[in-house]
Amino acid sequence: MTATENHVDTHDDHDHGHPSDRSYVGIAIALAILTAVEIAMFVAEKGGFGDALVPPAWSLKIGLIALMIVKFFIVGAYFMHLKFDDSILWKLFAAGLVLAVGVYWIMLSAFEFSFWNDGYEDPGFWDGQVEFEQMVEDS
Amino acid sequence: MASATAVVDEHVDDHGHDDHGHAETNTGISNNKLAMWLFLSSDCLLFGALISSFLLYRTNISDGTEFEGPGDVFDIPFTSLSSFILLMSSLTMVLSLSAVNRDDQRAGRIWMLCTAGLGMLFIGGQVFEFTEFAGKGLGYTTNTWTSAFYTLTGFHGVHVSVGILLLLGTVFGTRNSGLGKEKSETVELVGLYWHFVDIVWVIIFTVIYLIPIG
Amino acid sequence: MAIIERPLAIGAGDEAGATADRPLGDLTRPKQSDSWKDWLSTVDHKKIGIMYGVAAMFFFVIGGAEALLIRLQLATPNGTLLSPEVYNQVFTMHGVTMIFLVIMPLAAAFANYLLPLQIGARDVAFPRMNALSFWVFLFGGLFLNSAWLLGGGADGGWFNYSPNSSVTFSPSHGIDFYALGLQITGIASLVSAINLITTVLNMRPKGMSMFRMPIFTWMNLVVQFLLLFAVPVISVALFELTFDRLFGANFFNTEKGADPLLWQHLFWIFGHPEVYILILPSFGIISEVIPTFSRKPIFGYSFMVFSGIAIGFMGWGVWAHHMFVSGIGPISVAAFSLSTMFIAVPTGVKILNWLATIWGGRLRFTTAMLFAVGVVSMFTIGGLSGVTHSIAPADTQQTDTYYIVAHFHYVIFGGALLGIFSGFYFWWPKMFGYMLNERIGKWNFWLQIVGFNVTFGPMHILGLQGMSRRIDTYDEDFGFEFWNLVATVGSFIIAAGIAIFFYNIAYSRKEWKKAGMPNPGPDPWDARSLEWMTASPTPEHNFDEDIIVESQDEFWHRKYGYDENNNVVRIATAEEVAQDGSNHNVHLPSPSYFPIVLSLGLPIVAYGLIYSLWLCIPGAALIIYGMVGWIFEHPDDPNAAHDHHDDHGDDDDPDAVEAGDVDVDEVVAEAELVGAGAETEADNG
Ligand code: HEM
Ligand SMILES: [Cu+2]
Repeated sequence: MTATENHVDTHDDHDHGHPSDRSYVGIAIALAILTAVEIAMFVAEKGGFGDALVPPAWSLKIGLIALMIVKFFIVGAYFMHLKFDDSILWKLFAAGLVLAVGVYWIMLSAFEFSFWNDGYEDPGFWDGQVEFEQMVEDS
Repeated sequence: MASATAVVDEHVDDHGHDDHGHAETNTGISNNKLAMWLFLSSDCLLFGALISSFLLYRTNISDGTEFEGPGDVFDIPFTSLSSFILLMSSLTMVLSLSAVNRDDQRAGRIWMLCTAGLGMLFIGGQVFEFTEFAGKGLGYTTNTWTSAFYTLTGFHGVHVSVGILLLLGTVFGTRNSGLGKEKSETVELVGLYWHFVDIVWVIIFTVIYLIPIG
Repeated sequence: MAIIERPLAIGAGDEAGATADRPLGDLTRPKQSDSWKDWLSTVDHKKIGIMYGVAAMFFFVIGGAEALLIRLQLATPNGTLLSPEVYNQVFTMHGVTMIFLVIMPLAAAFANYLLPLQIGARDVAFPRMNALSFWVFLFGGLFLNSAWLLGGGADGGWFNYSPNSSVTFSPSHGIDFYALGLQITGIASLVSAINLITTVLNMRPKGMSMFRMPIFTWMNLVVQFLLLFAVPVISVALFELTFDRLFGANFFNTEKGADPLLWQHLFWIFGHPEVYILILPSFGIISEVIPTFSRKPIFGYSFMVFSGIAIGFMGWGVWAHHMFVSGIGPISVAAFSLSTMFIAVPTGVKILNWLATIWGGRLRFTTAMLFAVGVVSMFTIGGLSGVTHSIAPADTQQTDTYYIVAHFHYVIFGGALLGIFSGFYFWWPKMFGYMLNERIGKWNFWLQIVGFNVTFGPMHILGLQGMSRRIDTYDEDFGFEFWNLVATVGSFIIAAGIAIFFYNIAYSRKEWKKAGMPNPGPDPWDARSLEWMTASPTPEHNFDEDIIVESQDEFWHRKYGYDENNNVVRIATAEEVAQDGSNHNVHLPSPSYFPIVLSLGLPIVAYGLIYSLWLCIPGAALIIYGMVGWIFEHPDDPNAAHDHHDDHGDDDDPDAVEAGDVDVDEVVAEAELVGAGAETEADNG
């Protein structure tokens, strides 16, 4: 967006402090480290660092998802310039993102899907469903 | 507002106007860039649906196979490497844009070629992974898990491939016209697409590969 | 892609024209020649709008014929006109056609034609993309309907539930045509959504702030956002269905443990926003018509805007009200039941605002106004029956009965379609330069509204009596005979009303020619928004000069002022205020054949997926050829940039310059982007 520098523009708030190449490399290193931490967590879960260091499953899930979100926002903010561009872009993108997370979250909840259990199980919609199905099978 | 006028007769002489990266618009953002962001925003719902379809079936890998869970088939070190490759391609992409902004055409092209190259490595890795899986008896039609897995990662792969074509198109399509500063928006838009594909993979990698079931 | 598409030769690599003394466009570009070829290459948003309308009316006739077949079959008990198999296809194709190939494109017709005009722009942001949307839609629709000639149409209903949609239960290719055809029309909607949103956000002239935009523009902006986010959801569902059917995937294969509710969720996450996609354009239309013929500004402008936005938001949180009996569990049912009741609130706000606009107005009951009032009353009935099925236990009785059929016809026919007819009568002079006959128009209206109520009113009764929807016949003793016969009679009254509409077009045109083609003037209705501020029919360049907007209802405020007693007085005639369209120095985006070429490739690929993958190769080749041509149509080479007019006239546009147009001659002509957009969109499908 350097191109807009000498540009008559009512929105002059979007062109300050473009990261230098050096800071881009720094950001990439940070991303690489985060990825390494993710993989380390995975290895730990598999017992790679000894049985004593196996973290409880819930902490692992929270940690992995948190790291994922951080990575996502770093790439979005710096590499995709959302931090430096007019905020309308961020809002438009957030609209799609939030909507997607929202509706699919609700959809998966309706399936009684959960990260915290073994994934999808037949939710057994109502009491007596099993008996009913048995009955249908028998008849 | 001017864009409304711009369709008028003000026919433009590019010479001497190289300093303008975009048309003046109500938002101050060029039409092209706004459109690209709208598209990416829409794509969130596309990948969201694919990811949720997979999540719904993520425990079903045992149907008709000898595997107990996805952990038995994923080769995490390998996928970590290809994830890393894709992540680094985002770096080369921004470096390319930064070079083009500096009017450093040569560096701009080289970094873009690097980006495309890393993308191809990633795709190569995906092809390898797919063949490995197929060798283990996991075909597209084997069970709900395989269908959802191949479809999700396949769609992502198609996105990456389109990105590679865009990159190569930009590098080679501007051989005559040059890849000067005035092209920076083109590079920026290709970059936006590329980074988006990258962050989708960030999600896929965590949610599909790393998070254990149970 | 460029905002400006320079006048260029059609066809790639036409180097010969690229000299300074031969401006390419003026040589090779089709002029206003009325040649049919013009229409194939046009990128003019008005022509594209008209083509959308014509194509949709063509599909309307097909869908209408299907409807009459349904009604004939059901007119008497034990009907034998259609076999059960054919009946399934007929009602499925009727629904799919009416929703995707009639109402949506008719709304697109008005949006394309009017959005740029209403905000005072000269075209949409991406004119060639606009042409692409239309052609993709048209070929998708034709592809979908070609199923009739190739073994029968889809037979799973418009919502096409799995596992009923699997090859096991529907072995013909009908559902493949459904899945791929809707995929293609989805691409059209998505491209056009991106295009129109960009247009509205970016291309307003000076002073046209968002909150001075007409309600029609606002409602369409909301619709385009709904499309932007809803289309990818149905795309994924359709891809999964296609892969299941053609390549043996297991998304909906219950034998392999798939959950068929996955389809239902994805379909309705799209499907409920979709119903607002159908209705909001009509809300927009009547929000223009009612103020004009009540001679009052719209009551509660900001309420209108915000309730539209609220509907857009809330529309995402109610989808499972279509799944109350599918076993989603009591918590989901309760939550969605509540959210559905709430969504009636912003809808009610709109109805009250229209009534308040009419209240105390000096009413003129033109045909357009009659249709608009028809929408308010009929939609209210449909909205109310909607609220009755938001109550889940009540819906358990209603669902899958004719009561539902009555509900959605009251909202879609009584709401969306009548609104579109209102728009026809209202904007016809602006689009075609002659008025539709009002006397015949009233016949058209009354036949349509009476026929409509006679057809669909009794379906409430039939439904509550227990008649299932989608049933190909019923027996004598069920007590369904009488109302079914009534409904069939009603459907033919509707058909007569529609026939009269077509007759009206022909008759009015003939009379107009006989009378020496009098011009209706820029503003035949004494209307309020900017599209009336230019000549009728709209000149190719829309406006001679940029309009500087100072208020909402700008055009009206230029015609009327206030005297010392604060009474409204006329201060200028429409002719004085409006531009006469005489500025011929406006350069317009140049036409292109590549949108149509590119679009043609899509159905070929789709046939290939169904019949033989080999066919995909020429299809894909055509698409790639279209894209490459599209990109190189635009000179990327700065040395070739001599093809402009040196005489580009600042003096042509004094107002614009005064208005501070510093950079009017700004172009973003990055050829690659065209490819970028097209490819990514196509691949998103
Ligand atoms: C006041 C607002 C509305 C409410 C509360 C409402 C509620 C509902 C509910 C609960 C159903 C499901 C009934 C069932 O299948 O058991 C339904 C069906 C339907 N509604 Fe509405 N609705 C509203 C407005 C609209 C509008 C504006 C449209 C379209 C323009 C629409 C079109 C439909 C269609 C097409 C169906 C049937 C879908 C199918 O099963 O094929 N509705 N509505
Ligand atoms: Cu609904």
